[in-house]
Amino acid sequence: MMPKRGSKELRGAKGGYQNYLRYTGLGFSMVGIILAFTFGGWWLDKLLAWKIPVLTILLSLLGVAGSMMYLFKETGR
Amino acid sequence: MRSLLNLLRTASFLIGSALLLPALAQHEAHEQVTEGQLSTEDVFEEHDTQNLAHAKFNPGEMIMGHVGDEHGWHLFGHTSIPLPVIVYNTQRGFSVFSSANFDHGHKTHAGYLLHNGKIAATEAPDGTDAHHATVNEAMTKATWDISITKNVLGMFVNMAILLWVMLSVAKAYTKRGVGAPKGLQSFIEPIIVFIRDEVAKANIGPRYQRFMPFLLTVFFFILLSNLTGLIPIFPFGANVSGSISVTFTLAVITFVIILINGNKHYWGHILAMPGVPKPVLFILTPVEILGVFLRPAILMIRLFANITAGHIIVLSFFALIFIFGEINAGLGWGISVFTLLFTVFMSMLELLVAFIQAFVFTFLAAMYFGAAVEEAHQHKESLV
Repeated sequence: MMPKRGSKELRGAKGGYQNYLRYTGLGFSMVGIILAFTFGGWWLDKLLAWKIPVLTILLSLLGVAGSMMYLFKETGR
Repeated sequence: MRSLLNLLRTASFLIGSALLLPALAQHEAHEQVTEGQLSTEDVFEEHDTQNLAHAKFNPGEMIMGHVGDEHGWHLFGHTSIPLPVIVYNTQRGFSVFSSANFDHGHKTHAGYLLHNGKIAATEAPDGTDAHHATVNEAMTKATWDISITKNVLGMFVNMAILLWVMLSVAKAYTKRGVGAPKGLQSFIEPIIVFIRDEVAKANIGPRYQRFMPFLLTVFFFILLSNLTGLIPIFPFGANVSGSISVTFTLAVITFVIILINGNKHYWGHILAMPGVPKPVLFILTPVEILGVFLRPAILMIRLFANITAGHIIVLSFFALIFIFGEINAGLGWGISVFTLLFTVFMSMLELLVAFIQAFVFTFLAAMYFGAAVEEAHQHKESLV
């Protein structure tokens, strides 16, 4: 039997695919954030030209933290 | 069902790339061989390159040639429709001529030649063998190629179809008024109503009407581009939605609309998320700013990758026929049965993907617009 328009079942199904679509880009976003932070650190390190690439290491870790925050923020809605 | 589909997609994409990678490697090796011969055996070089091109089937070249853009529309065998080449050079000015002058990349014309399918500047006189002519790198950098290529023409064809369909539907409404839809109307109306109710209203809220023209245009344009990309017969078959330039443009338009429509609430949440301790903002604000750019970027990549992957898989199966056919003609015929079955299966999947990707792009764009115009009271604070 087809669920009625606006019924609870249908709304549940709709919420399902809407959530699914909301989160499709999440993985890519997280990777993008980590990459952007790491690349930024690498670029700054090239400018500084220190012996140890401190900023690459620091910013890549910050990127991981940032991507986790992004994950919490997006899924917590 | 969806997860199964995803699994299938991933698997087939992996198979496709596995098939493609050796092909690309072969492509490079092939180039090295020809280059080596060009430098050592001057007399036989043209003869040899031609022989090489004819003797060995190159799957990478075949697949990339079909997936990519080109100057001139290849129909079959050695027959192709020449398309206008429009080039602007900051020093030389505009040049407009037919791509037939390039003779499929073998000749130079008006100071330009085709280098790996792309327009490059040269100092060689007209009609020189393009394989001998040297590319002028500095001049090439100053060259803007705005030619009517295969993809551009394919886009024009899609636009013509869309205009015809939509105008005739619109005319039907003005003539008959709002009543029971008839003919083309009954196909288009449910889709428009679906986009309005399930995509725009559901994601954007009361201010959905401002975004409807864009959402509908983008949906029908992507859908039609996806579908015509599956038809291998002229004037269809240009890989419009599988071209990153096209998806890039669509994403940029989406991005600009978000930027224009973003309200105080939206920007406030990006630049300084309320209710978040100050030290955390040092990480969260850059992340949010990155997110503004990442969202359209992912829209761009998703559409491009999905459509291109489907095409590459189908073409890889076709390439198998010729790879095996080179070993043994009978083997080629045998494989073609398998290829045919798989191509039918993949085409069915691609039909589904054509609709899904058009819907996903529209849906996500609507969701981003919704976030941009959202008012403060609708939002539930969730972080921390």
